[in-house]
Amino acid sequence: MSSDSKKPSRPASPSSGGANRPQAQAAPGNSTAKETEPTAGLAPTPIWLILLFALLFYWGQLYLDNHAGGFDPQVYEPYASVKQVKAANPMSDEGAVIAKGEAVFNQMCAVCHQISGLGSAGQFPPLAGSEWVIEPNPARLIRIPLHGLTGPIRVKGQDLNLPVPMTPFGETLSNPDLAAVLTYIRQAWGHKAPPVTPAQVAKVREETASRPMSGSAPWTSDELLKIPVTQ
Amino acid sequence: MAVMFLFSSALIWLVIGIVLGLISSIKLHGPGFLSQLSWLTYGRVYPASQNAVVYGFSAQALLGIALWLIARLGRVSLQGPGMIVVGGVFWNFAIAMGLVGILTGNSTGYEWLEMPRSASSLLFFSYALIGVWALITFHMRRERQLYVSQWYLLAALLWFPWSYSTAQLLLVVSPVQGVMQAIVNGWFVHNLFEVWFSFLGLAGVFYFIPKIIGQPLHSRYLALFAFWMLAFFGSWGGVYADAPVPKWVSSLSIATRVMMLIPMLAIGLNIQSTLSAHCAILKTNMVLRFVWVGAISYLLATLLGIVGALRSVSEVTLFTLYTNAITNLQLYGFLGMVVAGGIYYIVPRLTECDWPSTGLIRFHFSTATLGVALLVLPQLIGGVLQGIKLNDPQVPFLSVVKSTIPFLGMSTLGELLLLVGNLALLVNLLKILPACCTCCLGRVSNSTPQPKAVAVGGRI
Ligand code: HEC
Repeated sequence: MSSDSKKPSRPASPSSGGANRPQAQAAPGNSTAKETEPTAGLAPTPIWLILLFALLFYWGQLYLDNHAGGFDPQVYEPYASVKQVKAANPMSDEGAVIAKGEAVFNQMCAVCHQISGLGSAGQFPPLAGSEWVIEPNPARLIRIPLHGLTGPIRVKGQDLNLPVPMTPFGETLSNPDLAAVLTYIRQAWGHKAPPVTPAQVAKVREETASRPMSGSAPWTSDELLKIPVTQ
Repeated sequence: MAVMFLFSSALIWLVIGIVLGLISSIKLHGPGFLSQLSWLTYGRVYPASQNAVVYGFSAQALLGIALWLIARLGRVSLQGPGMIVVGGVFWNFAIAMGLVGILTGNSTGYEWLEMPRSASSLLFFSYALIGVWALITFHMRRERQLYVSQWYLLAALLWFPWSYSTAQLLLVVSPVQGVMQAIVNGWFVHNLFEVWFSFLGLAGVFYFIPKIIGQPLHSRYLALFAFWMLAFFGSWGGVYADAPVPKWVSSLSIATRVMMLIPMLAIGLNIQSTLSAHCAILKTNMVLRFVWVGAISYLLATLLGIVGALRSVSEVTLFTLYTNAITNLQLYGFLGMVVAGGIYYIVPRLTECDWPSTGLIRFHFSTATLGVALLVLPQLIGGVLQGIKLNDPQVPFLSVVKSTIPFLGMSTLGELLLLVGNLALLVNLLKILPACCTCCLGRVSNSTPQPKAVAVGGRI
């Protein structure tokens, strides 16, 4: 500080007279150590502000109830709920096929193979995880519901000898229905096999035209295994 | 002298930012202007201007004020001033790199994160350098009783590295997929303003106003209440109403945005109750005037932001000049004014020199206030009109665009005024610097135990 007063360097700008000094710095630097720093009073937060806060918070909850679409990631503007989204969006062809296949399955196949696709031990074999179902080439698979199936069969590494044969559906189900149900079981339960088309079903029907669909000529596992699937 | 360094370079960025902003603003009504230069096309100049003002000026100057306040309120000298200057040099270097990156077309494309990765990493590193010493200074404080401003400052110091690094990580380093990008970006921009800048700016407001009128701040509880409300609700928003994201995200954003009404009222009430009996000082004290205009701009911008976030309003205002108006009000009205007030207050105390010209200060105040008004009001009104017309299928698009031109012209004028005003500040600062170097140099040799003197004496 002493150097300051000794050197006459301070008034570097001749214009900095008293008149030119803004109020803000009326107290020059030297006295800052003694300067008091601002404190804060203890007035309480007004009650109306807290009430307003509660009110707005309540409004916020109502708002989210009505406008958040149940926090479902599928709900975008301008829809309000998953239901509306589904209703407004026509299903893709593939989705429609799967939905139809699921309906057919639940009606026709689930009695024996169960909705879960797990079958029931000693009576009906499982479809979930079955190599017959997920085989990429559906040539064998299509034949099973067309004419039915009987005799000993190996599913998921287990040799089964089941009491009743599988009923044929070649007469009850159309090509698109069969294609749909097979597509469904190839993609349900975590399966990722390619879909089956009505054309493929029609082709198999042609190839097996001589075989009766009345249940008098079900396939056997050995017969099916002779049909080539590597193409 | 760390703080002085930050102030001066911040002002230079402000001028650069405004000049770039001016160019982009002129381009909006005169598209032929400088159109030959690919560096200066609108898509590059506009983000470059925003980045210069946001990171170069606002962030840097506010950090300077923050450092000074932390030292002052803790009654200690600033720790590690040398490291802070190094950090400051890197910070400026990073911004220069970033701006060149943006102008040469290497922008990342995310709002306010446009700087290329090398620049943003350097920016983060230099922030860390400055921030660590700020925290150390805070830790060493001799005055243990905390004042309101210190909470805001401390929270801000920690908030930036969190939100900046998160956004960088999720957008630039290993980008998230799809709409998540828009969500993260919106979140970041919102946090930067509603939390980080607000905390820093409000720390200044809560310090300077009671300090200058020499009265305690009206209520500590009210300030604490506002602090937690801001910290809690401030960080959720940022996704606009009809954004292509799951509806709950934008709804949550709107709901929390509306909750910001509470801290806004708390802050306004606190300032009003503190000032009400002392309005006379407003007439005479320039620093108070700057800070006061800044505080009012903050409240207004928050209110406009809340209104604009509502679904029914945003149907009209989204994608119009309305949004620009709020950004400008926040940047130039709130931050710009508070920073200017802070600089006018702090610099004479650091340098122990008077401002060479009071006239320039008054000139700066009038031009800046008028400039902000001229920049913001036309954009607000023009934005709403633009939105109404855009929603009307009868009105052809081109005529909507044309009808905004007079408003854009006025904003350009406002921007020009801002430039002139801030040049006045820069001139004043440049004048004060040489006058003081001599006395500062004398000061280094015998560093006195007084907190103030050390803050001065650390560095030239
Ligand atoms: C009457 C009960 C019954 C119904 C209904 C039935 N199945 Fe079967 N299914 C069986 C039996 C039993 C076998 C095992 C036949 C054997 O012993 O070789 C079997 C075997 C299969 C197999 C091969 C073995 C395996 O586990 O993968 C497939 C594929 C199959 N069924 C699909 C279907 C489909 C598709 C439907 C509906 C269209 C259906 N089943 C309806 C009883 C049924």
